[in-house]
Amino acid sequence: MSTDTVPAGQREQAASTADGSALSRLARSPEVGVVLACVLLFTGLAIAKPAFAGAVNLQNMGTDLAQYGVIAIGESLVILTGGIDLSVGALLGLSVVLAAWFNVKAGMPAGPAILCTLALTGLVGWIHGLAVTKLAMPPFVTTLVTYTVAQGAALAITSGIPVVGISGLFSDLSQTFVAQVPLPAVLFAVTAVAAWFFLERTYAGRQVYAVGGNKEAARLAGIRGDRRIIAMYVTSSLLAGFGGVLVAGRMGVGSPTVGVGWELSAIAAAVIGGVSLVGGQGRILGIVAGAVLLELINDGMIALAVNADYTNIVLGVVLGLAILADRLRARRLSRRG
Amino acid sequence: MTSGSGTAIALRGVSKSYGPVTVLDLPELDLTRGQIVGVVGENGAGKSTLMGVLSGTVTPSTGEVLVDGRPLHGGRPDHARALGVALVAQEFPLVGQLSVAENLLLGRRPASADQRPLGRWLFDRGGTRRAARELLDEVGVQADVDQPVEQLPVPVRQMIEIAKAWGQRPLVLILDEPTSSLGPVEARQVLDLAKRHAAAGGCVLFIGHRLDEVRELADRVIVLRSGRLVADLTPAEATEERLIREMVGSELTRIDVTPPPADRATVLSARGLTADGLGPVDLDLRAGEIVGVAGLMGSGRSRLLHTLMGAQPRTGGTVTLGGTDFHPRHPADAVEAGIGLVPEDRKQQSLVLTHSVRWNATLATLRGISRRGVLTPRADKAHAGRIVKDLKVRLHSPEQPIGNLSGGNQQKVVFGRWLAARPRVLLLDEPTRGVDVGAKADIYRLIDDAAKEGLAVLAASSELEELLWICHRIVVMAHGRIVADIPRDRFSKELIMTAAAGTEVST
Repeated sequence: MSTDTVPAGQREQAASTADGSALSRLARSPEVGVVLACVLLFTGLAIAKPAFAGAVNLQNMGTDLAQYGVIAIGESLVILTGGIDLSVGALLGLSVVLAAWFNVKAGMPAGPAILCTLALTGLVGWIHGLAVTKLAMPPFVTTLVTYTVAQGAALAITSGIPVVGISGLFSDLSQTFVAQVPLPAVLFAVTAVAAWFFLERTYAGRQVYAVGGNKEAARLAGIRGDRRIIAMYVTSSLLAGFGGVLVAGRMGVGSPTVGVGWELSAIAAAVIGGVSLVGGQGRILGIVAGAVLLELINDGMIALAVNADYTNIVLGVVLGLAILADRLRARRLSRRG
Repeated sequence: MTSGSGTAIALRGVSKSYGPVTVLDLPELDLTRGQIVGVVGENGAGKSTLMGVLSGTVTPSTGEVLVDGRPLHGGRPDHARALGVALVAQEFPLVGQLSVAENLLLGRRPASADQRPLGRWLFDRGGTRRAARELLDEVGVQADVDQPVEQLPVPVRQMIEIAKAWGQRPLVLILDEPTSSLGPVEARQVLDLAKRHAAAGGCVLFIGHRLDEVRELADRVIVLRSGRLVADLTPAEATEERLIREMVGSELTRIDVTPPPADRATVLSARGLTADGLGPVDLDLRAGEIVGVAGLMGSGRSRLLHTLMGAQPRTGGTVTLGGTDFHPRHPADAVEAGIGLVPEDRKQQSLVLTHSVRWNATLATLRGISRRGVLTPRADKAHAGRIVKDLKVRLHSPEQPIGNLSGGNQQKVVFGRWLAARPRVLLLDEPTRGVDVGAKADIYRLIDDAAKEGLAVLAASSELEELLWICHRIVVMAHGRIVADIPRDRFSKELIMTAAAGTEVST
């Protein structure tokens, strides 16, 4: 028999009532709120503007969503480790240019051009990971350097002029439909499922959460946190490269100006989806829902013909509310602990 | 500061409880002006709680504290300071990036600032530096007032902390083991300062580990044990022998411990092991043996465990584990080889507080319970369920955040995490810190059971009582080395405490 003292028992009693049924636990999980917001917003927009729920608009939204959805997933993996990756938008922009340049200027077929682009972005992610773990550089400034350099490199490679004449395979990748669903949206879904599987069904994924939640505890429990962190930075950069390839196909040219500010959308999607900026908390469902919500707001404002200048205000307010909700949840947790 | 005699601080019916545990209970205590009062007691005797109550960081559960006749608002350090109480803590709350001068005058203005226009708002650099220099001279510290504090060695920082408290011109100066990080010269200066303060009519509360120092300095020595004042002695009465007897209290009650195994194989063997602040250490651990590591704060107990675990780099020596050479470069290597560590600070080093009991329970065995890297929820839940059941963790559901559990139940989860990994050697650092009495007994039984099954246990603790209870053998550390190795039939608190104080003991 456990001989625990009374107050401890009482505390657990109190916790047990607070935990309550599966339903109330579900209601308090951050993901559910975002999914609900998506459903409500979509329904509202579909009623107000029936064309919004039409096939063409849905296909457009799916393609848009895929482009920054993949970098939102990569960004989230880094945030889960307790870091941040400011370079994803700029790196995506650089990849657009690189893929086009390899294909057009270096004369590579589309396949090798894409592989080279991905290899380069993966290398950048590996450097990020090494800098953050082995050199203990703050993730914020480490990736800020890449952000600046990558933006500059995209302009320098192209002299500011879009690279034209890229292979048809790029547009095949971005403009093919699989049973009415745009291929990029399918690829995004595959990425999301793979990330979900990694985080929820592999021991390495669980270790990522542990490292983000308490690095020292993870280390003393025999987890090689550095390897996990490096892998997440590599993945984030690879997904930025992949996003860049999708954008190149969509636009049909290697434009050096895409991707500006996309890292902020990626971070916003993660935070709205319940990913804690201090690390260790957040799930793929929430991240995807966060990305969907942003896309719905963006596209919904266009559908309702709201002045585009107001879009950022609305996005900012939604982000503010999400952060507020995150703090309130954290406070409740710490008060109970 | 007004001189003369009279009561500086009066405690009336003060007690402090955390839940059912009373950590301090002082019905009446008066501290007089012009006196240096030495406070001694074992770890957990209530010394730090007493200091907390006096300096306003701890709110007493009952009773009141009168400083110079005025009641102190509990839980208000600023109020305590305003009433004239200054605390020099063991861990220095200095702002590392700021200069010595800025730290010394943190939170107040130099007197000269009031004469300058807009002096209330503008930072008076010159005045601050002048005032800081005067203060350092008074205390007797050689330091550049413009240097950032973080660049200074620890002893100098300690002296600056003392100067900072001195600068408040307090009525009551509380010194918490002020000399533990100082060399002999600085220690002398601090003791002189305390004497000057008392001579000028102030009151000094001196908490000390070094009994000789306390005896030399104090006009009165009070001994705390289990939160109670058990002795109030004059310097003549306070012999070292008497103090130790009062601190230790009654003869200890022994509980049944499985006798140490005879002729079991040596599992772990260290020769000349060194690391930063450790060693050289020679140590042998046999299967089924529970070996305690005793020693004062900073004697290297945790360092020894962390070095064996590969959590702190080794600088020399060899370790063999099960007969083969063992050199972990990361705790992961140690886990693979069959070593587990229950760290000292549960919140910082053991738990991921925001995560569930299940996630925390399986943290060290994730790889083992997954197949080809894939972790099924079923295996995970079954594994955590087993841990929770075997260790009788009291909880509502393995899915609840581990932060909701009591300290004792949290610690059981940490133990379960390691026992499930089936290690050969288990390293324990303060295994029952912050654990309630009932769960303590459970944990002792766990340790005993595990040893019975052949696990070798190395347990470091500052609670001597518990080492005497559960261990087959105790090694005592001082200055990073093992200075005594005492078998169970020769256990005595006096022997261990003398050894821990740094004197070589022949056993």
